[in-house]
Amino acid sequence: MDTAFLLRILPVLLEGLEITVALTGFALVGAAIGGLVVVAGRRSRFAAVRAVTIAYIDVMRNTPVLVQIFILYFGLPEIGLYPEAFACGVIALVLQNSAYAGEIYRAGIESVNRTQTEAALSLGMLPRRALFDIVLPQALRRVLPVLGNQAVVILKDSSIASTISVTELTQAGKLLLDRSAAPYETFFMMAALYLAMAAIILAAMRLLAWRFPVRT
Amino acid sequence: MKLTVLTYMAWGASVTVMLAAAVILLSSVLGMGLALTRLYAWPPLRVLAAGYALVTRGIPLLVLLIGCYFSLPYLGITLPVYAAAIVVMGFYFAAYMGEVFRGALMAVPRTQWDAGRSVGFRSLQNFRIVILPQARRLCVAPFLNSSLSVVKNTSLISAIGGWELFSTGREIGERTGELYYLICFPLARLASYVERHSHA
Repeated sequence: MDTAFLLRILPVLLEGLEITVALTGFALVGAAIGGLVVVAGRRSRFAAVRAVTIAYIDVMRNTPVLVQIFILYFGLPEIGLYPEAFACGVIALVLQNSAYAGEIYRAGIESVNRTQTEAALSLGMLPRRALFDIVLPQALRRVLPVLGNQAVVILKDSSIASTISVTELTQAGKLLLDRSAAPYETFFMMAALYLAMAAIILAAMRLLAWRFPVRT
Repeated sequence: MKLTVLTYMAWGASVTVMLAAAVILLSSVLGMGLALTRLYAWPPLRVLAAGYALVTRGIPLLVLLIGCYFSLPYLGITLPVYAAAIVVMGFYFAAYMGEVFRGALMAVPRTQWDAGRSVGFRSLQNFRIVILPQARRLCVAPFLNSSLSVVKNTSLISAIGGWELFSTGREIGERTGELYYLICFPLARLASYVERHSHA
């Protein structure tokens, strides 16, 4: 392995990394919020809302991100919308991962004992306040590790945006692979950068889990 | 849709199913090896297996597929796209399958080992007769979920020039999503059914 070459390609890959970080960041925030919408719909009073939400979750979880990205990028122009590739990447990641995040939240909420809600209501709290102040804090603490894993999934799936020519880390690496005769160095560097980011995400989640421990 | 289009897509779907089946088979075998290594092997090997799982799960599959596609020829290895894809995905999902099997094996209460030993089973017998049947029931639902993720990820093979459901679909139109759905949805339903009905 040629270390001088590693240093030469690093700036190119770091440029790609910036886009990957942006994609992942936007998708993370979007999915965290979208997940709340999904779980609200999934637990709605109205059967129709619940049915629509369940259908949404099923469709999103049973089709590949690649297909969703392509439908957005090549399908939307047919109805007169021309979104940028980057935006398509973010939207596809948010759509798919909101479904997953919603189910994770739901698992957390359902794991909180019903008596907690009953206790809060009997103290005179409004149902909304009981949910936000009593149930959600406990639920979110419990699902932090799972959310961390899902965040890593988002990071990894952001590589799929390379197929619609977003020059993120994978695409930057692919262009280098096309041009250079040094596949191992490029491949090694890409993998190392992804691993480093996954490690950062997991460390951040560890930190959050330590700051917000599950109390029993 | 014209009949030719339908047959074209049916062909793509069958390639997807066959690829997924091959990957699931390979990754299950490797994953079982990983799980057993992590749980029962010589401690340094356990660390190695844990490291493998950690590293593999931190790298996107697409990067591995592209990386192997570009670097294998430099090693003098020229595999057909499908073969390369099956091997790469097999090793990649072995890390996930390994976690599934390890989780199931760990979920069998320790007391089961003790009980087996107290009726005179040797450890291998104990594992085969007492532990494995219980673990097998526990791992069905997570195994199905991982298999579903394999099916979805076969779409990435199109990125290195493989010719399966996704690329045939791309040629034709946007009905691809529906076909994936038709393959994945029953798997998902089966998984949640098993999850609800296995009283572990």
